Amino acid sequence: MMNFKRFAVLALVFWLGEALAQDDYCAWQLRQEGVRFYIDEPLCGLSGDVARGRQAVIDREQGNCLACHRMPITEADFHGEIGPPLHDVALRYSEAEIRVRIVDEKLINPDTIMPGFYRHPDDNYRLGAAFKGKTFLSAQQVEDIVAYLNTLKETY
Amino acid sequence: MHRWLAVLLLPVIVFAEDLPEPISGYDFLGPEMRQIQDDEFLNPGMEAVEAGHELFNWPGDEERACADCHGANGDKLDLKAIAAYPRFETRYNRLMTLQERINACWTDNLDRFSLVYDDEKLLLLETFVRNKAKGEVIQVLNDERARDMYQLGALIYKERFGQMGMTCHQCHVVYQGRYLRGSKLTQGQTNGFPVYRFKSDRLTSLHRRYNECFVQLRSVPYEVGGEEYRALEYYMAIMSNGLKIETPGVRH
Repeated sequence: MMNFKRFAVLALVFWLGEALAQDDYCAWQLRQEGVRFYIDEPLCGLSGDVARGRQAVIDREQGNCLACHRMPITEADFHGEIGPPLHDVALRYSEAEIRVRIVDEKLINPDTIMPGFYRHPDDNYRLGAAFKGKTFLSAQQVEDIVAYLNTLKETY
Repeated sequence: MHRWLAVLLLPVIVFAEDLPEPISGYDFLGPEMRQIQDDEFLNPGMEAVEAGHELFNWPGDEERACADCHGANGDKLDLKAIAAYPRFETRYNRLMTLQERINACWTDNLDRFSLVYDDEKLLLLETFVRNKAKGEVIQVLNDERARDMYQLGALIYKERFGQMGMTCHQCHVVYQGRYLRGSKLTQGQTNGFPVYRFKSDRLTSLHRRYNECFVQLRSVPYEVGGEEYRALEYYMAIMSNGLKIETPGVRH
């Protein structure tokens, strides 16, 4: 009897954990106008922090955007050359357009190599066990990076 | 006339895949690493070659060794055949990787218990045998009888995996030669395998390397020696056609 109770409690905790993990994911709305795509509302209604976003694009454990993109960040070396440089990204795209590209570039370009940083976890094929139920970046991290990228208006 | 020629050629063009001109991983290495690979005394993979050579001559309880048929130094091995694996073996009526073929020889001709895929003994023998064929040009046949394996390999090569959601093809064909942060993307050619990797300080089989790729993609690896990896090995060996065997390669 004791064992059953313990099992029941554990099962309940596990189920709640799972349910919460699922609820963590904030839905977003894609809007299209001609060839332009937008996610107007910030994920989970969060507001981004430019300084944290700048850190996240450098950090190999977070966005690691530098792995593929050159950016106006001189203190970090080894900028990748897979994607386009981002020095002027805010001149080319609005904040809502940048957000789409970070959430999942495949929404715009199905052939892209770029990971979907806020793609729904269930949409990944053969997802590693350690990543079950998780997005690549948290909604907060995405918003931080969007805020940072939205400051990049260098012409060169 | 020309129009007819085009129609005749069409199936050939459609059938020939957009395989890139093969470039060995060696060509992506810096001068120091190249020197290590080239120098038999510096190349740490040579230890496995020597151990494989010993095993090749090991008589075991059966009082029989690979060397009995293939020569003490493997001089009677058919080097062209080694460079043709994976290949369809009529005798076994299926596609076999070199490791599988060695294992079949081990069980059928030496009367020993079958070894699991990537067993250390198999890996050592494979390394020795491949090293024996070093410099031999890879010529793997895209065999009609192994069409299903080729297609499975191609499917896996172009499938998005894990949280990264990338394909082998994107990194190693589309963006080959470009920098991913600090490292240049290679074609991921297999001609140097088994390779010695300094990152893990060990001899690394091709299938183990596949495992590492899948982990990097934040995905679930397939089974070592399983159909998926063998199919991938076949598909990638065909991509390597024209390159020379370099076993044991060295990598970071």
